[in-house]
Amino acid sequence: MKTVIPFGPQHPVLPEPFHVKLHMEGETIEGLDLQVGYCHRGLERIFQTDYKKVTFLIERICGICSFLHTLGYVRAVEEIMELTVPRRALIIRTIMAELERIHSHLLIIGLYGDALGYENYFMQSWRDRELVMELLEYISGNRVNYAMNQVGGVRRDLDEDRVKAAHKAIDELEKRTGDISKVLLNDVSIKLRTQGIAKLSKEDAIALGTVGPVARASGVAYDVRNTGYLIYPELNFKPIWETAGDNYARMQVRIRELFESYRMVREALKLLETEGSGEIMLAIKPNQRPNGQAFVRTEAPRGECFHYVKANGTPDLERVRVRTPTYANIYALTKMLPGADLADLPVAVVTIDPCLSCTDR
Amino acid sequence: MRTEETKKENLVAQAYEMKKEGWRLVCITGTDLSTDSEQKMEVLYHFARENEVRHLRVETDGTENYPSILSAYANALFLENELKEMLGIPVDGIKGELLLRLEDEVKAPLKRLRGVSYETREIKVEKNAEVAPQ
Amino acid sequence: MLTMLKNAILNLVKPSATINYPFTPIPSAKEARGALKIDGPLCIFCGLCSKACPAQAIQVSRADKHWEVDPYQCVNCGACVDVCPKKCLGFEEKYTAAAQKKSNVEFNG
Ligand code: SF4
Ligand code: SF4
Repeated sequence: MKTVIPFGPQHPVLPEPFHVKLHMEGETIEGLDLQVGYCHRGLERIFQTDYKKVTFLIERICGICSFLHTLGYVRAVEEIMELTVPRRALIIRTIMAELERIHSHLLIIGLYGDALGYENYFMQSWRDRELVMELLEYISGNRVNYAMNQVGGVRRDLDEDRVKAAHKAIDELEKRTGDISKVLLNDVSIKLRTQGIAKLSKEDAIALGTVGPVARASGVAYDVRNTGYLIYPELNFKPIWETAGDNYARMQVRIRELFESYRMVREALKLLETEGSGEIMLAIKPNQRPNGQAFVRTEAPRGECFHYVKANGTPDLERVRVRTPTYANIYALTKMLPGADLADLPVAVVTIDPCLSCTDR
Repeated sequence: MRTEETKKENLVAQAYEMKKEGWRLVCITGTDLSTDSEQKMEVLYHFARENEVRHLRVETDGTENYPSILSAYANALFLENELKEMLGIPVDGIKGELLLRLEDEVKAPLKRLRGVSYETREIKVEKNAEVAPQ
Repeated sequence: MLTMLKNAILNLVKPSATINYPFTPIPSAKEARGALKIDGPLCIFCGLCSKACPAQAIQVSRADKHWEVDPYQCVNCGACVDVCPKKCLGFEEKYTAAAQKKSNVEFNG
């Protein structure tokens, strides 16, 4: 029997507000219509203001990848203004970006457990996430919206105490992630519910322009960190990818990325210690203003994030355009879900790690 | 950042060609460059292939029909929807009901309207903190 | 599986992990950006802070020698702290407490 089920924007199992109209054949999903836009705040219009203020406004696009948005934006403005950022600032930016990836991945791993009906797992993962949140608060002064970046460098330095605290937190986190990942990757009932379900083939992943862990789980080894911004080339970064393309593979990629991030944070912290203190912020004269346009790609926890800035020499920017990873990924649901059961929908939605306030801006 | 000029008549053919060469569409950016005397918009198509990037630039006046590259790139759907909603460019076959709701007062918020004084459309950020962005 | 079981049992006997807010204050990190504060007498009412503020939270009037911040509009970014020529702005580590009424923090010179 054919039925149409409206699903969302508010629904207990949806982590984010978006609407899908499900075309069902019995218990099986045949097709779906997507509707986003419930979080639209007109931010791109508000960004047509002073370029220094935009740094603080742009991190409010999203509370989870807020550092990445400022990072992409300041990289674009620095490219326009042809600034060379001090090395210590680059190292601190790398550390922050990776810590943010850790907290985002731990968050979605928890939600994944929740979607599977495993509440204990959710609490466990979020309790561990608290460690990295506290570390981020200690480093930047705030749990979210860190206000660390500014055009020309970073605004806070990592002193010795903070480096020590970071080492301690990363060690502890690595131990705990080892514990929880064992459950996620080896548990029989979790495997039964996720392996081979909501598959995305490599061809579809490329055709739909998916990015981040969603693409990498389908065998597309595409990671923007490879393009060599910040100090990633020095940290021997290698993209992590799987080939199965199902729910299980997408979470597997994230868990393996966590360990890669721990390693990179540790190495970057060591670089900070060995190189000693130095400049973290370039002085910018008040009459020095951006004039031109730049396009920058940054790897956010959820995938490639795109920032475009166009300035015309006045303090007010002409256009800031943001294309976030979920914008590219959410459309993949229309290819992933047909053929799956209704009960698999929450899990499949969580594995693409949707962030709708990014998507709608 | 170097951009390549192109005409909107050639756009779709060029998109197919780029797809064949393995470029992926990253984003479409529309900017309103209108002044008081003329109406002009630019649309940028950003493509990437591994570490290379390419940008196509199309100029339009924002009133005539505009081609859609949806047939070549499936992920252009949301991007072209936004082009229509935010700037009011009538893209072929695109409804433009993604971000704004029908009951929203503002249509095409990124468009600079000629004949309407800029002041009334400006979100008053500088002068009055009480006025909420419309 | 057993790791989770161990945790579940431990959680039964451990004290509660949440804080009894507002009776117990929330701990905040060292140098956290809790709430904006002003060291009043130093301020020269130049208005630079209100110009730099991305949230339009500060209002300064040079004529009336009046400085005012709306703590509920302030996003604790610290842009005003950076630009202040007299270095009279700063942050308290404690976060703004829950309140029943909104009120601005004012200073008259
Ligand atoms: S910038 Fe400093 S001195 Fe000037 S008005 Fe603000 S608080 Fe006072
Ligand atoms: S901290 Fe930021 S938002 Fe708050 S008053 Fe200062 S500049 Fe404005």
